[in-house]
Amino acid sequence: MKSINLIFLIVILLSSGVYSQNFNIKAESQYLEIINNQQRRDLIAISMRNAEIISDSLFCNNYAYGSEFFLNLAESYYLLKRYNYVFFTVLRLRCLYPSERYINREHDLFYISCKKLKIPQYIADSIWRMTDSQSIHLLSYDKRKQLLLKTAMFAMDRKLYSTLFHYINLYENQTITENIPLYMAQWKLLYSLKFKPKKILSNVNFNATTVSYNFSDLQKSFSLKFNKKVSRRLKLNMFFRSYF
Amino acid sequence: MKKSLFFCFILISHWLFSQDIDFYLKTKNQNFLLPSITKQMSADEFQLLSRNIRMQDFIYAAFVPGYIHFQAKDYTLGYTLLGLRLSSYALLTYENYKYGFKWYNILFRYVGSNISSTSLSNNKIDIYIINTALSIIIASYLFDVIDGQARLHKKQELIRYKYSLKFQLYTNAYNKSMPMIGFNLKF
Repeated sequence: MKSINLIFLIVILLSSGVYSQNFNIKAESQYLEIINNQQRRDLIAISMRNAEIISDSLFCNNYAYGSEFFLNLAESYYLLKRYNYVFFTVLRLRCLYPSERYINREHDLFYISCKKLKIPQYIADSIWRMTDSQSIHLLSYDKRKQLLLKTAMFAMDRKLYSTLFHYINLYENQTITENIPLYMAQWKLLYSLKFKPKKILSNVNFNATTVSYNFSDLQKSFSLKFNKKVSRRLKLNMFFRSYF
Repeated sequence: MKKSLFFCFILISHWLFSQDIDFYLKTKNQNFLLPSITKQMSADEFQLLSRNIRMQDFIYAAFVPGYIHFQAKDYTLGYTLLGLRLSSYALLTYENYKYGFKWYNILFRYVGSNISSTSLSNNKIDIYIINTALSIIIASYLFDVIDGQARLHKKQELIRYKYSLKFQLYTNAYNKSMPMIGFNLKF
């Protein structure tokens, strides 16, 4: 009898934790809706940091009210004219919460952001088709996360890439198996070596089963970078030697 | 004489009370008050909320250009003011070297200056330079004090609005939708 009581207590405690997180997200979504209606850009700008913390938790766990939250967040970024984040937020909404509830608004925001980011029409169309709710609603949450990260790489935007790097780290911490897909590992390596977005995307191989770096291109850029660094260091050394 | 003595007495007593040049009290023990802040608040927001522009800061702003804007964490404007003020100081220094510390006579129509009347007509550009430099110094100080304080207040208002609204929404969402059983004990 005691053990049943204990189990009951543990269930209540755990469920209250989940419920409270759900209501936190609901409250945050309501807050974003209120400030979006006011169209105060200064107020929206200072609220984005908190919203991104909530969206990190939504990326890790599939809580309720996430779809409303992401739509309001995309609207906020649209009002701030940060189209790279509009693109990413619409993708987050489509991949993590696939439903047809906000399809018209999603479509508008997605294609406007693609146009502003100068993503070619055929890539935008294919991303839209890949993240269609009919094709991904049967996928597991882990696979949907992978799809989100894979499609967001096509934005080719330096600021967004820093967020994407953070998301890949989150994904890496969350995966049960130690290995992440190879294209993610390649992308991370190239990003941490401070390559330009176009260069990163051209060198990432999206066939996750095989490893194939485009070494000729990489070697050229490596040698250029290291030559510059080495020459700078040599000059410094010469200066110090002449001075002392 | 008595009035002035009385005024001085009040002023000194106020300063002693406030422990610095301001008129209102600020003790060292205030630094040990630990306010309860929300989980979402960042360190920057906490700094902005806890800052007040006092009389001491107005005096600092006279010596450190853009001081109030730096206090309000508006660095771009702060550095702009710093650059403007430094450039105008540089112009004044140039004029100092040119006229041997007599440039202020040019401002007051050469009254009592040693500059010859022949150079009077040629010095129009210098007059403009000195006038603009001085006006930039005064204007930048006034702008720094007034605009900086307004910006700080605006930021503080926005932060207060954000967290008070969120607090209301969070408590409403939690209380309305959460079935709870509890015990209440009152004495």
